[in-house]
Amino acid sequence: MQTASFLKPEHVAPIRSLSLRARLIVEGMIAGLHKSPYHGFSTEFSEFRAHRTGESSRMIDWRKFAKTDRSYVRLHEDETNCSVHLLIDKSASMGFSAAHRMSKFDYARTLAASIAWILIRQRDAVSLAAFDEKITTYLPPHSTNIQLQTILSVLDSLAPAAQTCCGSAIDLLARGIKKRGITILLSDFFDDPDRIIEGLKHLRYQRQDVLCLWILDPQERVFSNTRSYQLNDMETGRTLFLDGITAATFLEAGMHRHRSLMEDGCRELKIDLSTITTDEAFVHALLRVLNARERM
Amino acid sequence: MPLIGFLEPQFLWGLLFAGVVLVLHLLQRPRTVRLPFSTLRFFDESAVTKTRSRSIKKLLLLCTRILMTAMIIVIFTGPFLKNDPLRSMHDPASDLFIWVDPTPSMQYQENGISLYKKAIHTIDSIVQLRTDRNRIHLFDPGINDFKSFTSDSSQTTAAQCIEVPQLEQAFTRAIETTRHPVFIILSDFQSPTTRIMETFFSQNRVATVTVVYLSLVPNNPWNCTLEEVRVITGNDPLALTHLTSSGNHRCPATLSVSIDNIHSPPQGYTLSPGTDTIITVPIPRVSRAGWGKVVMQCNDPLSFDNTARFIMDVHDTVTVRIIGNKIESYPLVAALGAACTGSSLTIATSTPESFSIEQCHEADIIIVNGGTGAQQAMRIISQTHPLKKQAIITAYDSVLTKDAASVWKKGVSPLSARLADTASGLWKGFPSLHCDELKVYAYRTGLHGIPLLSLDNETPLCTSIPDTVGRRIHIALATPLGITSSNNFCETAFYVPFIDRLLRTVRNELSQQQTPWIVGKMIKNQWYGHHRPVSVLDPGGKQILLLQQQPSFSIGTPGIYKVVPPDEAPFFKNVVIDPVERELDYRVPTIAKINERSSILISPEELLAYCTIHRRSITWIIPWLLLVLFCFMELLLRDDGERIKGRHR
Repeated sequence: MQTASFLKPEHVAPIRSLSLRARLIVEGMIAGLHKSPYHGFSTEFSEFRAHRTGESSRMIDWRKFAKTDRSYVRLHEDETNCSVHLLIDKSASMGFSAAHRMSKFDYARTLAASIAWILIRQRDAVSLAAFDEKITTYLPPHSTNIQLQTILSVLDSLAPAAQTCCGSAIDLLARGIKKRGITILLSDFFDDPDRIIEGLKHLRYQRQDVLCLWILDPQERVFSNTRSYQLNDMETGRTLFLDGITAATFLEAGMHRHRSLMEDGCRELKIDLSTITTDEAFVHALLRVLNARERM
Repeated sequence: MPLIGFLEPQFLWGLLFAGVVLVLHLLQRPRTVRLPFSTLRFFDESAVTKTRSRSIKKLLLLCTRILMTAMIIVIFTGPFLKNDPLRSMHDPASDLFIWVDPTPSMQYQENGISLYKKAIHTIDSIVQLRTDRNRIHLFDPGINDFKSFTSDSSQTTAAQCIEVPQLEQAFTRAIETTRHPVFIILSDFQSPTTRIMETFFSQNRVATVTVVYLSLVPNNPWNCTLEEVRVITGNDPLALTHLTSSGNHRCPATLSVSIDNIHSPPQGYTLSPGTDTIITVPIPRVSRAGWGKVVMQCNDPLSFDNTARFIMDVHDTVTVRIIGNKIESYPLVAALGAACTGSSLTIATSTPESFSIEQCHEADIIIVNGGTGAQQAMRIISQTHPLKKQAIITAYDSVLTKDAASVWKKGVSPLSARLADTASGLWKGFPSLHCDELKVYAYRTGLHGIPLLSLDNETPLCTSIPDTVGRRIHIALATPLGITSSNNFCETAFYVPFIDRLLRTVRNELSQQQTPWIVGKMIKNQWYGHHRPVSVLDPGGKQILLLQQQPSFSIGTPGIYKVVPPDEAPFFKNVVIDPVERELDYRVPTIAKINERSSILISPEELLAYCTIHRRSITWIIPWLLLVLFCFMELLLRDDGERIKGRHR
C-alpha cells in the first residue's frame, strides 16, 4: 500500500509532533482499511439490534441480513464505556536504537499514540501508564479529545531512563483496575519472565483482555561475526567485551529461552503476544495487531 | 658455533613470509564496536570466558600459521644438527680437510683392493655430498700441507712417512684459517698413526673441531714378513733370514736369494700362524755389486716386506788390533777368540813401536793394552784421521780426550768381586758374578763418560767416552786387560764374559753404520757443512742426491744405495720401509670425552650407507612432522570458529 510505504518508521520519524504523527498513521491506516470489517478494539459480542434509519450502513451485519432478510447491527460489550489501558515501558532499554532508526521507545509511543487516537475516536476510554522501575506516570481513563491531547502530551514528554521492572509495574496497574477492559502493553519485556507472567496473570485475574506488543530493534537480534563489541548495558551501565560470534550465540539462545517462556506464559493466560520490530512499517504493525483482535 | 646448520641457507630469507602472515592477521582483526545495548541479561560470565578463549584460539591460530610457514621454509633449507659430525661433512659452510694415510701399510690388499685405493674411492663418495668443491682440501705428503681438491687429484703412492711436526702444523693452519673445518681421517690406524691423531685432536684448543675417523682396519689381518738378513761370509756364504708370520692364515712360500740378478734355487716353506724362525738360504755367489736380496714369494696381503736386502761387505768381519806386550796380551787374544761366535774376527797384535798408520786404518777395533810405548801408539791413533768408524779401547793411563783426567791409584786394597751392572743396555743382564777370586789392586779414576760397568765402590771399571767427531768409539778401562799386576782378571771366570760383552758393545757401535735408513723419513746429513759434497747413487748407479748444504734429506724408494762421502771410503746403505709398518699393530682412535660431540669413528661401508640416505635422517624428518602437527592444529583451531561463523551469517 502506498500509504503503508509512506508510513515506515524512517518516513514518520522526522515528524516531531507526536499528535501529527499518530493522526497521520491512523488516517493512513484507515484510508487503506475502508473495506475492513473491523471497527474499534472491542472484544466481546453483546447482541443484535435492528438497524435504524440514518445509521451508517457499514454497521449492518450482512451475514445476519442474509439469514433473516432483515437489517441488524452487531453490538459489542464494550461499545459502551470500554476502557483501554495503555501501559508503555519507558526504561532505559527502550531507548535502544540502531543507526538511522527510531528508538524502541519512540516507536512504542508512536504506536501508543496511534492506538489512543483510534480508541478515542471510537469513544473508548483510554488510560495511559508509563513505567520503568515503577509506574511513573498515570492518566485515568477518559474518552474525550482532551484526554487524547493529554495522552499525546504526556507521551511526548516521556524519556527512557532507569531500569526495567515490568512485572511489578503490571502488577501495580492491575491492582488499580476495577472494571473489565483491555490492557495494551508496549515493552521490550527485558525483565524476569516469571515476574512478567505473574503480572499478566494479575491482569487476567482482573478480567483484562491483554495485548502484549513486544517491541524490538533488529540490531538486538543480529551481531556481525567479523566484529568485536563492547556492549554497555543501557540500564545497569555494565560493560562487556564480546566477539560477534559469542554475542550472537548467547543472544540467540537467551532470546529464544526468553521468548519461549513468554509465549508459553501468554498462551497459558490466553494473552496475545505480538513481536514488532522497529524497522516494520507502522501500518503493518497496526494491521497485524488488529488482525489478532477479531473484534476491533 | 651454532648447533643447527642448513644445507640451503639461502632459503632462510623465506622466513620473511612468516611476517606476511602476521600482517594479514593484523589486517583481518575485527574492529571493536562500542554499542550501548538494551540489556546484558543474556550474557553471563560464560560469554566472557568464551570470548577470551576465542581470542586465545585466534592467537594460537596466528602462531600456528606463522610456524607452519616457517616450517615449510625450514624444510627447503635442509636443517641438520651441527654436532653430528657426519652432517657437518655436507654443510656448505664447512671446509673439508681430507687426510689419507700415506704410509706403506696402506698397501695391504683386502679383497683384491689395497686399503689406499679403498680410501680413494671413499673420498669420491664424500666429495659427492658437496656441491661446492672449492671447500674440499686434500693433504699432499709431498708438500706436507693441504691443497684444493680437483677432480683429477691423486696422491702419491702409499709409501710415505708421517712427519709429525709438519702434519701438526698443516692441521693447525687448517683450523686457524677456516671457520668450520671438518677433518676426515682415512687410515688403517696403526698404533703410531693413532697416537698422532689422538694427541693432536685431544688438545683443548681443537676439542670442538669436527673429526670423522674412517677406519680402514682390515678384517682378520695377516702377514708374512722377511725381517733382517745377516750374511755369514766364508767359503759358502749364507743368508740368515728372519722369517715371521702373523695372523691366522697358513701360507706356502718360497725363498730365494738374488745376487746380481742371479737367483738361487727357491726353497719352499709353509708359514703357519705365529711363525718366527731363522732360515738359512745359501748365497749363490759373491756379489760384484756388494749387495743382494732375499725374496719371498707368497700371497700375503702386504708385499713390501717380502724382500730383504743385505750388504755383503763390512759387517761381520771385524779386525782387532791389540797394541801391547805380546805375552801379556795373550789371554786377551784367547778371550777374544772364545767370545766371538757366529762372526768373523781377525785378531792381530803389535807392539807399540811397530804400530803403524796403515794398521790403524785397517783395524776396526784397536785395543791399547798398556805397556811402554803405549803413549806413542796413542799419539798415532789420535793424529790419524779415521777413514771408517773405529773403536779404541784403552786399558792404560793414556786418554784420547783432553778433558779426561786420570789418577792412577796404587796401593788400594783388593776390592770385592761383586760387580754391579750399570746403565748400558748391552751390559744389562750381565751376570753379577759372585766371584770371590776377582781382585782389582790398582785402577784409574776420573774418567769422564758413560760408565758401562762399575766396581763395588762405584768407581767405573769400563767407561764410554764420547767423541765429538763421532768417527771413533772410545772405551776406557780403569785397569789393564791381560796379564798384569793390577788385577787378576785373566785368572778368573769373569774374564771371558767380560771381554765378550766389551766386544759386543764395540761391535754394536760399529754396526750403527749398518742401521738402515727408513724410506721417506728425514735423515740427518752427517756431512753437513763439509767443503765437498756427498753423492748418493741408486742401485742402478745413477746419482740421485748430491748432499752439501742440506741439513737433512730423504729417500723415497727402498733399495741399496751407495754413499760416496768426501775423503772417505764409499759404503752401501740399505734403505728400507719402516719396520713398524709391517707389524699390523692396529688400534682405532679412542675418542676423548672432550671430543665426543664433534668426533665420530665409522667404517667406509657405514659412510656409504649414510651418503645414500643422508637426507632421510631424523633431523630431516622433524620439520615434516612439525608441519603435519601444525596443519592439524590449524584445522582444529579454525574449525571451531568456522562452524560458528556459518551459523550466524
